[in-house]
Amino acid sequence: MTKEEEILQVNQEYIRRRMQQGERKDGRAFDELREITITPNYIHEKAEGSCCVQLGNTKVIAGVKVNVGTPFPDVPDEGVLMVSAEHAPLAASHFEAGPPGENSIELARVVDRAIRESGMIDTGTLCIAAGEAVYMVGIDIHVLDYDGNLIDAAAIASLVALLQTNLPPYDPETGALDRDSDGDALPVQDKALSITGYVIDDGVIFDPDYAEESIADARLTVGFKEDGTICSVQKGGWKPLTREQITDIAQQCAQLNQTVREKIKNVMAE
Amino acid sequence: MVQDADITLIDDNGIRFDGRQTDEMRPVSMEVGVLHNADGSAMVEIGKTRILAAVYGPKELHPQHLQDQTTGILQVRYNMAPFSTEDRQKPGPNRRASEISLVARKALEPVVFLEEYPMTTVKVYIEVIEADASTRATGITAASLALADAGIPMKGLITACAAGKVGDSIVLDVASKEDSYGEADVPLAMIGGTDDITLLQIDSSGLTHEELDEALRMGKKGCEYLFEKQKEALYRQYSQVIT
Repeated sequence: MTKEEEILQVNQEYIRRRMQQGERKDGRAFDELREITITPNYIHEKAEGSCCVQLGNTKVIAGVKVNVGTPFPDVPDEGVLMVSAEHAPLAASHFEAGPPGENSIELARVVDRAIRESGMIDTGTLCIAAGEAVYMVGIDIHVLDYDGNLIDAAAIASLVALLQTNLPPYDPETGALDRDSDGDALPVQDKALSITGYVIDDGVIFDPDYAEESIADARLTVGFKEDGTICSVQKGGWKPLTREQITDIAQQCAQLNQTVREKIKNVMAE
Repeated sequence: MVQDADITLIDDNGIRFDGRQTDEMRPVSMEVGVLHNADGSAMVEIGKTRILAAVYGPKELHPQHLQDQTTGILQVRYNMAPFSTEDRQKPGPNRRASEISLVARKALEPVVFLEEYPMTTVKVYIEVIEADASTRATGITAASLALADAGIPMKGLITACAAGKVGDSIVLDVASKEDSYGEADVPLAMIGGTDDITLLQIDSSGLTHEELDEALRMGKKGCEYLFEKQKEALYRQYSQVIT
């Protein structure tokens, strides 16, 4: 066992012991988030929209790149929205370089699902010339420091990055985007945000750090539209959940969803 | 190199397109200890170029057949974030990134006392957050700071910058427009405070021997300036007890 694994194991035993007494190792309430720092426009020039989110020691950048491309033949008048994620090896000693693994792909797809299903981006508005040219909006989630709860950090970063995004004007002569012009804001129909609850033994906690997350038996990510209705869900982990557990976690997620939205609103108003 | 008549990179008074003198660098900022998990880290910004470097190790090297009983090894990975450039970078290493990883390793190795850590690896991750030329040079400068921040024993710091040729002038710290439309890009890395060059690459449409010599002098001047900035960043982090 490496030194890191030993420390983790000691931590895990401590977390379990404290949780049996209704406490968390850092004194937080079960549904209390760590300190959150949201930095919109983190990529000053090269991305069309971006945001860096720090949740405790977890640090994630979402960068939006807008390109022009030909639409898919079956939907000639719709643009394209894509979400990708990378667990860059600088973010944790156990992350490996290489093509995106299943964790990266799940992270990207869970964030994608909330955005897509909420109808936040109407891909029809991304059409430039039907059958010929459409905007392709790509969100890249880049993990810089991993200390748990990547899904929520990535969801917040993606939402704020999209709200910051401009569509550079399309120049029909060259068939390219004029990135030197500001362009119009990306039309946004809704605001999707996901919150994840983590089940450890009989308790449910939110915004776990790495050690807490590493002993979670199950997790439930709930995506919300701005009106508070649910637009996506993902269950993770090995342990089955009951109907009562699921509805209870969803209720708690809804509360935190409001808390985080307030924080985002304050940051955007600055 | 692309020639474009519409772009004036340097005027008759020797002032560059962004207002700089020929021997002037873009604004520089450096900070060490910017990441939580990594054993050492640094962020270096030169103009609009922003690079994050992280170091892990020394730690056990896998696969085992790479282990060396006489020394540790340095593993370097240069990577561009997908949103760091005008056109999105497809994730994963391409041929350019693989070569830069190699030359960055060769640039850093001469100062690191790897023989103190047989069988192990020191991993260096250079992550381009935003690119506006000189990403390999800036990445090496950041990596050297991250190694120091990680407490890896070294006989010195490595400092790197890019000289170049724009029109008929040798200039310091090429910006991306100068790289694309200028006559030469000359990235070099040096052992701080010495005359030793540990990385040199040149892309040029034509450089005389005199110009090469001048570019090397210019590069050294840039490295000397950045070396001071590196030391300042380390002092800032470590000169006082954090309470």
